[in-house]
Amino acid sequence: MLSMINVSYSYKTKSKVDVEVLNKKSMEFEQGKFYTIYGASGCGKTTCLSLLGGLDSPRDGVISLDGVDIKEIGYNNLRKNHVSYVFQDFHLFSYMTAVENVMLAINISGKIKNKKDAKKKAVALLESLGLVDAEMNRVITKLSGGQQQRVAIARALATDANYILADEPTGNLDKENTQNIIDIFKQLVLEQNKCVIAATHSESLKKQCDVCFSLEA
Amino acid sequence: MNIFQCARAYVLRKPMKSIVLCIIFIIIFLGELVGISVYSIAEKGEKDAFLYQGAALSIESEDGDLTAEMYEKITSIEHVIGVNNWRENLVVPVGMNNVKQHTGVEPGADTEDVTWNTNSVVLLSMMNTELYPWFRYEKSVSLINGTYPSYENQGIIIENKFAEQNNLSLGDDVTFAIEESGNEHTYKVCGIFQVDSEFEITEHNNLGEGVYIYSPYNVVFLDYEYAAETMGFESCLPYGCTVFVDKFESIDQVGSELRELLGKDVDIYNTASDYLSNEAGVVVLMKNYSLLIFGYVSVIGGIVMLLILTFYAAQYRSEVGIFLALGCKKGRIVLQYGISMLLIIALAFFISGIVYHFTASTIVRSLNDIAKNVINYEDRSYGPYITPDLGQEFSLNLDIKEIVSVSNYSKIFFFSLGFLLLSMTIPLYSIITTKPKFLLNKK
Repeated sequence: MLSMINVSYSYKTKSKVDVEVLNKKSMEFEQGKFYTIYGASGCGKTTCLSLLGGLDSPRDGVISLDGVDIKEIGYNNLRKNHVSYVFQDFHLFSYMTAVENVMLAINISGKIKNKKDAKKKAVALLESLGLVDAEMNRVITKLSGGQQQRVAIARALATDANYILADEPTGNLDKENTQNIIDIFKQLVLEQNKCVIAATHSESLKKQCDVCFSLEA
Repeated sequence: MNIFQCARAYVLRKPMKSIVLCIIFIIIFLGELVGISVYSIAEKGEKDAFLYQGAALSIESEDGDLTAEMYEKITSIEHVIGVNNWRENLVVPVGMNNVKQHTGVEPGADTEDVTWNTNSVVLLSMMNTELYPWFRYEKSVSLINGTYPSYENQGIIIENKFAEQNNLSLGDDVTFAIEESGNEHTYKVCGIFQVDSEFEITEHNNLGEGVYIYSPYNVVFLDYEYAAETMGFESCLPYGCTVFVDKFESIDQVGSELRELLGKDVDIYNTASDYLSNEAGVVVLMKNYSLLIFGYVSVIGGIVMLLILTFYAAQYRSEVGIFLALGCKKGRIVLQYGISMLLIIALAFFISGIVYHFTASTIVRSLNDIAKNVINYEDRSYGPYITPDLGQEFSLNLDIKEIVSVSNYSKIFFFSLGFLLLSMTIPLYSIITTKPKFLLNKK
């Protein structure tokens, strides 16, 4: 279980004004469930994901994984083995192909050493998300937004992390692609016992999740 | 996708970026290569000047009290490698012809009423032929067969073309008629030397065909003591000599010891300093300017390189964020960026090396010509002939293999690596101080 316990977070503006984003927030996330953190822009959704994934650290409070403070686990170790990200603007390596992006994540995780096996896994993941062979071997910039988001999801799954943190995963997609991505997340939860935590302001995503945490700006 | 595959993809899949970077590096490297090569040439020239020609002292004694014992004492001084006296006799080889090979203008027969016999050659009697500048430092003249003349072998050395023309080989006898006395003397050939440079006659030749006397092909070397004995002149010249010193740095020490040995009445001239302020001065000037060019290109080029690499590194920060989000180790991120840039630097270095390899000889040749023109300016203007001249004293010999050396390439490559490492300060600093969340938002 990934937990936020009494977490507070604030940042300083350029004019040195302290802006409080989260104040003693607590949330718990279990495997096999689809969560959304819902709220308007600036309410702290992305901050929550950053804190849960160890991309940033809270001012106060504790983030823990299965009862262990993630500081003790190590932020890098956490990102490498337990959580993975899907970003709104994908954050894929533009000069690599779809399959190479996924293979890179496998290589970094160090779970598969053999290049052929890594490629096999990458191809299988991309196929399972609906990408055909020609699309897999295309440089990222030559794929559509929906296809890029699928690659980003495949990359998130490549490391076998149990917690998938998705920041506005459908923010850049049309209605059809949005539903496709939601369906993929649901499938991951049901079939692979993953925990998907999506930060969103999308009503449709909110309606289709198992648990929704609402944040106010 | 391991670290090398990622680095390769980074370079190859961003072709415009890589090509622009590569071209800029090539220009910088070429500038540095030219600078460092010219500097090497000039440094070598200066070193030669110091080590060889520059390291000599001249002694003149009005009282004429330089005895054989004194010569021995001079020779025994530390750092003295030899003492030389020479005497020039115009002689006619009996039954033989001199070599009349030349470049430049035709010698002309009616320029002036010259008394020189067109078939005369110069018989140079020397105490140490091997220390004579032609053999010692100019390197365009070398003994190719036999041994140098000595009192013991009682021989002469002749030039290869002279030997071929007159069908002479080692052990053959050659008879010379001395112009001054009219006596004839016969000597055995103990060695053959070769002149690689050309004998050029200038438009200022007033010696007519007599100029051939001074052709390097027509110079015959003989041991001074043996010549004195056979031709009847003083065996040790009592009025002065040249003292050869092993290196320039030893000149002052040898000069002091000579002063102590010979007393105040003997004049001792440091020919090295005179020489260095004239001919070698050109090379020193060249060295200083080339160092300036090299320094300028290196500093400006280095700054440009640093700015570009830093700009690229700044662009890399967003990628650093992605790598960190994927759980990548910081060391790998930095190393991967370093390898990517190193690939471009290595490629640019390779291309500039090839370009320079094929253009360096032209650059070096033109530099050599310029240097020679400056050095030989006076001879060219007023003398009847040039190269090699008895008093020429300097020739800039350039070896392209020495200049375009692994050492020079290495210097520039490591210089670039230094700037690469310096440019990596930004990604390193970012990784250490910035949270991944903020790196992800960098554009």
